[in-house]
Amino acid sequence: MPSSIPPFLIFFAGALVVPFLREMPRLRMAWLVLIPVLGALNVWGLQEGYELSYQLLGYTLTPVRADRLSLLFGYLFHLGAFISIVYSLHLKKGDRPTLQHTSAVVYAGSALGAVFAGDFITLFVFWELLAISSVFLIWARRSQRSVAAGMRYLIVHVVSGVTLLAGAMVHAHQTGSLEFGAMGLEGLAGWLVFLAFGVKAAFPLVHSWLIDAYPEGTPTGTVFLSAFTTKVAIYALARGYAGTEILIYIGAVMACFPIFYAVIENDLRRTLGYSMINQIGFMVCGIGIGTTLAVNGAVSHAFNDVLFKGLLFMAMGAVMHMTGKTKASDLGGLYKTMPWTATLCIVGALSISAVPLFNAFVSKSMIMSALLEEHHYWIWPVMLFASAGVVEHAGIKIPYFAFFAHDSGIRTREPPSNMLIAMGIGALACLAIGIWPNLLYGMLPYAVDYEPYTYTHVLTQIQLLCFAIGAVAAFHLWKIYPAEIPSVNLDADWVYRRAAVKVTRVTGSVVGAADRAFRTAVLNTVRRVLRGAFRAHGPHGVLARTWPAGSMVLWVSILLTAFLCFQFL
Amino acid sequence: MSDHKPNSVPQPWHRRILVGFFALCAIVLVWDLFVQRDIHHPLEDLPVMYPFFGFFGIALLITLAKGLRRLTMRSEDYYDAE
Repeated sequence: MPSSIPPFLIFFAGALVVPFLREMPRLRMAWLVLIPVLGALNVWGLQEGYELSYQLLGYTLTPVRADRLSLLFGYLFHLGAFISIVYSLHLKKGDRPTLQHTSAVVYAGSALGAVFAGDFITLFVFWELLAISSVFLIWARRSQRSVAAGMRYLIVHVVSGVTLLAGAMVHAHQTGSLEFGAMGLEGLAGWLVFLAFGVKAAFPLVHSWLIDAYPEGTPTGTVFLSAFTTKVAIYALARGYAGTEILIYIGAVMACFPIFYAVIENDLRRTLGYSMINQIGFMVCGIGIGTTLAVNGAVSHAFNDVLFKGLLFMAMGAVMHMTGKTKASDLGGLYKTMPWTATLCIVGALSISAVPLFNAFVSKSMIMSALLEEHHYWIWPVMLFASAGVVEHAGIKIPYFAFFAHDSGIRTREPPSNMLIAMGIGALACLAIGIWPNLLYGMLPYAVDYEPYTYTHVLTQIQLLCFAIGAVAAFHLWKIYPAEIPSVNLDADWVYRRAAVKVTRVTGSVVGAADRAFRTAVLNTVRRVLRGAFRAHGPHGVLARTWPAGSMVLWVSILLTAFLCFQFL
Repeated sequence: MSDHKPNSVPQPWHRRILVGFFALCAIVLVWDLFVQRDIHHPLEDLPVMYPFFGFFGIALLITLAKGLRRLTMRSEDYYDAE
């Protein structure tokens, strides 16, 4: 049945009810699961080409615009929200369930609002709502680090939103329209909007918010965070900047630099953060190529990333929930007591590594093929290197150090059943899309004329993966693989967490000293003037004396004499 | 806590998995020499290009990452100390 309800409304209305179910946990669970189900039925009924628009102050606002691109992300966000909500159903009083569930549902609704927004003002409103609602999923952990990381996250995203608004205003001034469509990099508006999208997509040098904030979120909150924010940015780039060449090079840098950090990172959720930037790099590169195959590849990889990265974040969240730890140096040997979680984590690892029959195999290869079709012969080997790198950090490191490696001695049990069910749904989805890629291909924005399971592709991918895994195994056996050391690694966030603080302090002390010196000099001058005045006009000052009349007559005579003398000269 | 073991590959089944895996590597390596692949990039024309890329790509990655660690690694409370 055709529907015309804005998709975000169902989530916002659902979030309003959640606080009233605080004392009714079973009803709250049912309600939370019902929200994405009702939302999915609604978005299923949205007709391609449907638009809801109205006039405001001479401009046309379009809160809902349904086309194949926005509908794909609409389906994806409902699936992501459903899995994440099931994963978080066990939250109890100490976990602040009302806060987490309400903000998570508003966050999912905001993501939906952003991908169905047809104009810049609607996009801006949901862009900022994404930031404001999601930060509570970080703050809910209530540690000093999470509060500070959440504040940094919020500042970065609010700045991104303000930049978007500035770009939108310039665009409206230049074109007289607020419609959000293909932009390109012509003019100030194009660059401002591009920068705003780039911050949310974690472009190099503005990526630190992701690896700073995501590991500080709650175990369940980070699963929500991984599903929406960056994917909204990918959607926005695909809508506004498909075929913008600079994105190919930005994507290549994004795909490569995080994998070096991922090798040496000790916090496994931060490792996944680096992995996320690496995967977004493939999507950004595909959008930059801009052909129908490349854009299909980029958005289908975004779809798959929500599933396999969500699965890996869920597995690490389950480990964190059961052991309180996420550092590789503290973990190991958990497969003995968490065999199901380990198995599901391995499914996620196989998926992200693009093993045949798993979902990344059918999406990443579209981007790689598009690179070759468009003769980007220098970028292709770079992306192939990044593909091999994924195997190392996400394919092996995550499951190996958490569940195998050395026995940490931790004896725990499987996480709550809702967590396992959510991971199971994610794993099944990864496999289903890998085995039957047409399930996904049928929803893509452009008609698909691509066959992932060719003899050459399967063979070469197996060769690449086997020897990449072989290299990691050899480095372990030769004992030259970098040890997991409790540490942090300096990244771009050092600029605002350390350098900017130091510069501010030094600048403050220099300016303070100059200010003190200036004020002291002025005060001393004023004091000297006052002292002089006091000397002249004070009770004993020369000018305050009482002079006799004869003395005055004498001085008048002298002055007159001097005047006469000057007259005769 | 009783069965805490060092970081190694001590279990026989671990070794069997590794032997099986390296055998698979050998098979796909040899396979490459006897089949005709589709070629889209000049590099793909080289024999065993993908196994070479996989192995030495990871070797380069790990080596460079160890160098990066020398430059960037700080204590866990580096930012907390502020």
